[in-house]
Amino acid sequence: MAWLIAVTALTATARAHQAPNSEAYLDFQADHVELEVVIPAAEYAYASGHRVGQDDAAHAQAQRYLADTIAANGGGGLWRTQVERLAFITQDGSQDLIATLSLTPQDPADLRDFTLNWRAVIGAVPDHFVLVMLRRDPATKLGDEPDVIGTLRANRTALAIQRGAAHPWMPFANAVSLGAGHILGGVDHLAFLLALLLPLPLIARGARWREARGGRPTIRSAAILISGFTLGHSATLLAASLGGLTLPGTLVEILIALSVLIAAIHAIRPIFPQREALFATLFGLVHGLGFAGYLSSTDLSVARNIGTLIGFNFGIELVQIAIALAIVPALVTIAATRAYHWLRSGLALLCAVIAAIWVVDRYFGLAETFVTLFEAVVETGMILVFFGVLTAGVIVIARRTIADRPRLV
Amino acid sequence: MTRLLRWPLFSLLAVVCLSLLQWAMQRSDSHPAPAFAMERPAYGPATYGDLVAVSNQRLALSLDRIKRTPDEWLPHAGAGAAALSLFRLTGQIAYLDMADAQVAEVRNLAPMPSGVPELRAELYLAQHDLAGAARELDILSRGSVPPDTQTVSEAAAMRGDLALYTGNHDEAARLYREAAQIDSHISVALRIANLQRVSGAFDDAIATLASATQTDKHTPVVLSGIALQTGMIASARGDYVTANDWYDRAETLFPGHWVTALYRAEGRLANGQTQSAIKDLEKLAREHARPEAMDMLALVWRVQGDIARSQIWAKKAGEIWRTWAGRYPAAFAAHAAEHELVFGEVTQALRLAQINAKARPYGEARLLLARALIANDRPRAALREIGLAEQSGWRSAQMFAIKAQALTILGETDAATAATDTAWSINPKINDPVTRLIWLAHG
Repeated sequence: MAWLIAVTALTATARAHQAPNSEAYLDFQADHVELEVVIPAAEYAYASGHRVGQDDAAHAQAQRYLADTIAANGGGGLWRTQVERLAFITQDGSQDLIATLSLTPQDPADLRDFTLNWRAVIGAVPDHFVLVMLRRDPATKLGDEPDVIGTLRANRTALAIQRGAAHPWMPFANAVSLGAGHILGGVDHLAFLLALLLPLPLIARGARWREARGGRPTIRSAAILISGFTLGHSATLLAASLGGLTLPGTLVEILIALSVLIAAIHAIRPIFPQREALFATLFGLVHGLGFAGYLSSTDLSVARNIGTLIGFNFGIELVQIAIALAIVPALVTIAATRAYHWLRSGLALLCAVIAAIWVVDRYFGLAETFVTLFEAVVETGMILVFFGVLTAGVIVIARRTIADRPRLV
Repeated sequence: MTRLLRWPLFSLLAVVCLSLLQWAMQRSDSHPAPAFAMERPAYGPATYGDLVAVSNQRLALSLDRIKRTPDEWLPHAGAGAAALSLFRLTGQIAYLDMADAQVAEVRNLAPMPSGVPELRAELYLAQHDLAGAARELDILSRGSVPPDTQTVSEAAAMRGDLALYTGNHDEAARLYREAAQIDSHISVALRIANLQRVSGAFDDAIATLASATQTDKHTPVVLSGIALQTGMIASARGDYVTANDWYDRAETLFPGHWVTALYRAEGRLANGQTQSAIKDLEKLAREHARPEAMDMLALVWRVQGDIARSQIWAKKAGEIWRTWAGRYPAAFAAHAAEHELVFGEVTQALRLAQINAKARPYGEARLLLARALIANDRPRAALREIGLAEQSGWRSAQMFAIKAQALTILGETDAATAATDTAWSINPKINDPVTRLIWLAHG
């Protein structure tokens, strides 16, 4: 009997779980550091003795707890710590306390190396640690992929944050990367561009899109159209970011969705033939306000500087030109076939439906679960559309090459 | 148009064909679930209480014999064996003390090399003294009178245990096979299943257990042990519902065992039945004074954010683990280290985890040491321990989750993602909040 109990006993040794850790993301701004903290709610409640809840009292307690246990000092002394935003958020079954703190030095010139002091949770939970990451520092780091700086735990409650060497070109490079990333991730801007480019290789006659008009005029039209769009959005982006021009965000978003809808209808039946560039310039003004709104919500340091604003704009242009260079020759190639009629109509209809849903959502607000799923499908669909058009263009060229090859008799 | 779409359509057709092929292959790969023969027999002690009573009678009988013939070593050996059985059954350290004393008496009275070296080996294994156990097994093999087949088989199996605990899975498998060839006993099958489980061969482990139930009739306690092991395999895979079912089955087959009660409580916690689990754990802590139950309660209350209750249970458990680890450092270092890591001092946890890994340098001990090293800000050293566990053949979702954590701290995010994916492929629930509450059967 002993051996059986032995076997049971040997499997009954402790093999506990891993406790979830906290995370701290540092984002350097022009005059302060933004610190986003993620603390498992259960650990917070255990360590603080406070209740987890969505009411004001629970939030106020959490706010006080964070202000008491997180601080920064460097340069001229203790920095001002303020809890800007705070919420208990449940995701994938686990609840976290997510908060954004601003850490501001007395003198903005002291926004360099500093020490992050942290006692939240780690003072009460032995195996708990805080993973501290540098997410954004426009002066020293390219992109916003978090880099691990170090950990804070019970036996180390202070961490020296050392900014890397500042490069004069880094803010510009970051702004370019931000602009390029925004246009690539901004499906509405891509849909607008696609819908405008679709009818360009065709001639409009009798309220119908007719035969193809050849490569050279199409490419010239595309260049003018993209320049017009650039002119429009650059003007409002600068005016909004530096001059304070504002429009309600919701209105801008609805107008952007409407611009996609109109461009898509135009791609089905010509509404403003030969005037696509003018249309692109006018709605470019609205898209520019959208870009400005995005900048103000993500990175104010880019929005406040003319150099970085140009960089952001440059990033947008780079992507637009790259897409046009890839897609326009493909469209010109396919436009010479009968299939283009179906391809143009189909893609335009798809853009129109998507834009209509955006208009409804941005005006009335649709269910969040539906919108999340819809956006995911649209993002994937847009990538597939661009690659599909490119592939179709390559197939047409390949077939034409084979057909043109002299046959051996 | 049709001609233009021909190639995309062909591509689509190819994708459909490949998917069908994969589905067909999966169907042919999926073997029917192994069948368990778990009918409760009419013989053998039916409950934990019955088995404790029988074991106590056996001990009393041996003690009675000692009174009558105090200078004979054999009654002392009987008493030692009975006390060791009772220690394993009840988990009460007093029985381990008694077994130790009786075996020491055997050593004093019996002329070398007689005096049940197999029992001494078993005692050393229980005390996590691998060198002592190996020494006694060598003495057994050199004996002038050849032992019976069952003892030879058990000796080979114990050598397999030594290989497992030194992190040599291949050698352990070879020795278990050798033991099975000498005497195909259920204990060997259970050891093989255990080795398969910790090597990540879950299907093989289940097949071994199922086959063991079909080859012979077993007592309720044996069947209950098989049910527990099967539940642990399900738990290591993240199938907490099935695990819970097996733990309940273990209780039905052999009611009243505190080990089963611990697993059932854990199964309930993993399935969201928190209140019922707390009730059971409080009962275990009250009636059996089990520090594991107290640790689990402390953890549950911590997750619930109740600092006062959590600290009460953690304090009680800590006192017991400190006493036990003081008495038998190697045997209880793992439990004590786990407790210190979660509720106490991380430097103390590291010290205890090092004692544990030194005594039994196998996968589980290395993972505990890795966690203690991470908690002491030594992720690079933790990765070395995890690497050694991986080399030994140890496979578990937890191992890859700890690896991912160490790599994340070191900023090696791509490697951390790969480790997380591997952990997830073993246990898709490894990152679920409920998995935090799995204190016993993580694998």
